[in-house]
Order: sequence, then C-alpha cells, then structure tokens
Amino acid sequence: MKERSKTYLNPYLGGFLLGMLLLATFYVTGRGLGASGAIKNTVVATMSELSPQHLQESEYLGRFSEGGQHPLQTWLVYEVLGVMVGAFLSGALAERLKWKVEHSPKITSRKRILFAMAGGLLFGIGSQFARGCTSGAALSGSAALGLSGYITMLSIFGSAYLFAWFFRKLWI
Amino acid sequence: MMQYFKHIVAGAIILMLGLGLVLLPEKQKHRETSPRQICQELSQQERYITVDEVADRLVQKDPTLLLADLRTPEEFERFSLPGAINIPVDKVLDAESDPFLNRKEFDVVFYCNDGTQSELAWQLRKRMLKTNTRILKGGLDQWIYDIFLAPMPDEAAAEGSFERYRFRQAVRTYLSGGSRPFTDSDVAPAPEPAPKPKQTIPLKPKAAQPKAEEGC
Amino acid sequence: MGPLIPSGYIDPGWSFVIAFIVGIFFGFILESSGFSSSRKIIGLFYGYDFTVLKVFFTATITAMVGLLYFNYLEWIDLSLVYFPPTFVYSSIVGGVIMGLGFIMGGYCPGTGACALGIGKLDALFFVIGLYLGIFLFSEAFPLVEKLYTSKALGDVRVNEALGISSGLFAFLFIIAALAAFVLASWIQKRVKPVDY
Repeated sequence: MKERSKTYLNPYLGGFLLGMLLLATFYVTGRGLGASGAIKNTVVATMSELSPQHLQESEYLGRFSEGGQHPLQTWLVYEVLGVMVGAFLSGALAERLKWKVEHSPKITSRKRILFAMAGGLLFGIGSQFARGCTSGAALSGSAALGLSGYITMLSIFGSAYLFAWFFRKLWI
Repeated sequence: MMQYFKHIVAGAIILMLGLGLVLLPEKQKHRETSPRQICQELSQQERYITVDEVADRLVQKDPTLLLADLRTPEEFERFSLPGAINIPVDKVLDAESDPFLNRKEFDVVFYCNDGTQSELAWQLRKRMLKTNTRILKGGLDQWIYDIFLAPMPDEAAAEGSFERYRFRQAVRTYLSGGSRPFTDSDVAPAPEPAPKPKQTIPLKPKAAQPKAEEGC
Repeated sequence: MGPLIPSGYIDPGWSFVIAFIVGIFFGFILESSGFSSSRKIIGLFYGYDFTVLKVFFTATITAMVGLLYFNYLEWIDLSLVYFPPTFVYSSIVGGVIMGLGFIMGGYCPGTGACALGIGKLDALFFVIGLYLGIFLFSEAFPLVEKLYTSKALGDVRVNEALGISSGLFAFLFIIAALAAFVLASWIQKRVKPVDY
C-alpha cells in the first residue's frame, strides 16, 4: 500500500496542477476541459461515413454536424487524443504500461468488462442529458461558476453514493 | 500535528485567498462597456441585420433566429413578425428577459417601428456587456416597405435588384399565404397594417432548439 | 485581455495544436494522480481511497480562485468563459444516470481515455459503451427531447442563483472543500483498507 501510493502524485499536488491547467485552458481558449464531446464527435463521424442521410435526419446528432468541417476536426477530439498520449507518457515513466483488465479478485474479468461496458453506456446517455460529463460539466462548469456544473456534480456523486451499496460486490 | 504542517499551511493559504475574494469589491457589478467604446462601435454597421436577411432566415425556419419585438403589447398584438416574442423596450434590462436575450445559441434581433427603440435597447444592453443582439435595420417600416410594398426596380437598376425583388415577393407570398399585394392604405399609420399575417406567439422561452453546444 | 482565442489574440487555427497539448498535460496529470485505475477511483464511494475527492476539489478551487482573481485584475473577461447552459431537470437526470454508470463502470469519460492510454482493457470497453450510449441517446432523442430542454434557465452562474457575490461563493466553497478533506482523511483511517 505504502509503496504504491508513493508512485502516485500527492492528490493535493495533482489537484493543484490540474486546477492550474484548467485555469490556463480557460485563459487561452475561454472554455474548460472535456471528454465525452469527443466520443460524440466520433459517433457523428461514423454515422456520416456509414449513413449520411440518417445523420441529417437525426434531430440530435444532426445539429453537431453542421458547418461542413469534418466531424473529427474539433477541439475536444484533439484534446482527448492528447489525454491518451499524456497518460501513456506518465504510465511509461512510472512503469505502469500493461495490457490488463483491472478488477477485484472476487469477480471475473468477463464480469468486469460487462459492467464497464454497461457503465460506459449509461455514462454516455447521462452525459448527453447533462450536456457534459465529469470533466466538462462538473469540473470545468463548477470552476467557471456555472450553475449547471454544480447540479451535475451533486447529482453524479450523490447518486453514485446511493447506488454504491448495490454494487459493492464489484469492488470490495 | 507536525505531520499535517504542510497541509495546514496550504489550507490556510487557499482560505486567505478566498477571504481576499470576499473582501475585494465585486468587480463585475460595476463593469460596463465604456461610452467611448460604444461610441466607436456606433460608426460601424455590424449591429444591423437587413430586412432581406431576416426574411431569408424566417423562410428557412432558422431555429437560431430570435426576433424580439420591442413595441408595446398592444402593438405586438396587432401585428408582429412571425415567431417574434414581445419584450417591451422598458423590459430589456429586466432579469426576466435574460432567458431570451442572453443566450449564446440565439441570434437575437431587436425590432421596433422605425429602429430608434432598437438602437436604444442595443446600446443599453451593450453597456451592460450583453452584446449578442442585433438590430433590424429600419425596423418594421423598412420591413413593410421592402416586403409588402416591394417596389419594382426600374430598368436601369443595378444587377441583382430584380432578383431581390423576386425574393421579396416570394417572402410576401410565403408569409401571408399569397394575399393581395399591400396598398398604400394598409401602411398609412406605418406600423399598423391591416391585421393580415397575424401571428402571435405566447411569451415563453424558445429553449426548444439550443444550437450545437459542445458538451463536455 | 484573455481569454486569448475568443478575444482574437491567438489565431483560432492554433486551437487544435493547443487542444492536443492541453490534452497531454491533462492525461499526464490524471494518470500520475492515479486516475487510470478504476479501483482507486471508485474507492471514493466505499471510503478506502479519497484521491478523486481531493484532486477534484483542489482542482476546482484552484481554477475558480484563479479565474476570479484574473477577472479582478482584468486579465480575463469572465463573461467570455464558456460553461454549459442550465437545464435543471435534464442535468439532474443526466447526473443520476452518470452516477449509476460511474459506480458500474468505474470510470468517467476523461479517466476512461486516460486508462485506455496505459492499456487498461476494461477502459476500452467502457469507451465502447460510451459510444453506444451516445448513439442510443441520439436515436431515442425524440422521446426525451421534452426533458432535455425543460426548465431552461440560460447561462446562470451559481452565485447568481444563490443571490450572493462570486467571491463569497468561492470562499464558502473553499471552506466546504477543506472540511471535506478533513472528513475524508478521518473516514479513510477508519475504513478497512482494500488492496488493489
């Protein structure tokens, strides 16, 4: 335990650095960090490849495909690509690079993967309702004092605590 | 206690910074666009939108166009542009108007009878740093002249003006369901033509179509 | 003078390069704080690891205090800083769904991408799930459009909604965060550690 926590950054230092990065991002671009928007753009991109007509008819995604630019040419897509590169660099420095399925010893990899996928599915749906996920709506939105950020943050963490009891076997 | 020394110092620093924010006078409240800057922008034309552009976007059913009628409710009742909402000019600074006027996803266009009140409203909101509004150039007078009267350009007119004429005729047909052309008597009291294309919309937020906002 | 790009100090053409660099830092910080491990993240909800709480709140108060001071010094125009518009019910419903997804999946989209970067395969499936979820939402949008757009308040700030100054709100938020940090360490000492 002790040794492992040493390899990670002190959480307050990590938070401070993340806050500074967020502030710098606000200062340069006028908007915060994000993640789920990039996946949304990927959905738009695949749809415009496979069935442009369906995309046009889609009342929701259709509005993100205007402007004539390729749907992957957006700020968030580049940012999320950067996230993966940055995580890779950090993982390489700390020797944490490894293909694996991380799960509690009490469950199988298969179960973990199924739940990860279901969780992702719900997160995808929820992030569209809330117009952003934990990084876009909750973190960046709250830092910029947006009311929606606080509503989203409280409901994400509040409901996760509520549901935690039902899924405790997955984790502890 | 010693082991927490660093944490306590860091906590005290951020607490002090926070306290500083409480004690600092609220900057935003006093901030406004300087009269000099407004004066500079008054010479520019960017705050105007032409009758033709509005008409085009109405025909296209552009969901990002939000027309705000600054006249009195009675005048609004009598005649208004399709889809407009009524915000009498004395209410443009009210907080209850902000859900309509202060939305980044809308192009808010002010209009009134001749454009004077729109100018006023635009300047006031500009001064309050609420800048996302534009003015229908010439107001309803111009609208009626261009769309309903739509004078036929003379032979020597510049290229393109016939095209514009036809476009305006099409808009008129579209908006009034192919009614007779308006005569002078309709516009005698300029802003109150016969209650022909009457279309009022109850005052409620047009939140139904937010423009593409990047989520998260 | 900031924000630089919306105010025209930097050409928008640079924005993708900036996005990529910002992303690299974002991913690096997330990974080195331990956000690439779902079991570390989810410790927050079972009391054995409060890293997420500490990082999240420290980052929020740092950025918030910074933004407010920058605004005071007129280095940044806070009115140009974007945050999502408020749609009360939609945000609550979305948050609750995300909370459920969080406890089942163990990641959020940002940490999922981060974990994928160091080779976590569960994160790969989480991201696939995200993709399907967004697709599903889009297909079902006509059914939920009413909820999605109901109770629109526009671009409201939290301090305006509470009727206090932004500085006072930040101060109260800092106190709440510090209290949460103390509480979290107190709880963590009393919860059976989980080896992960």
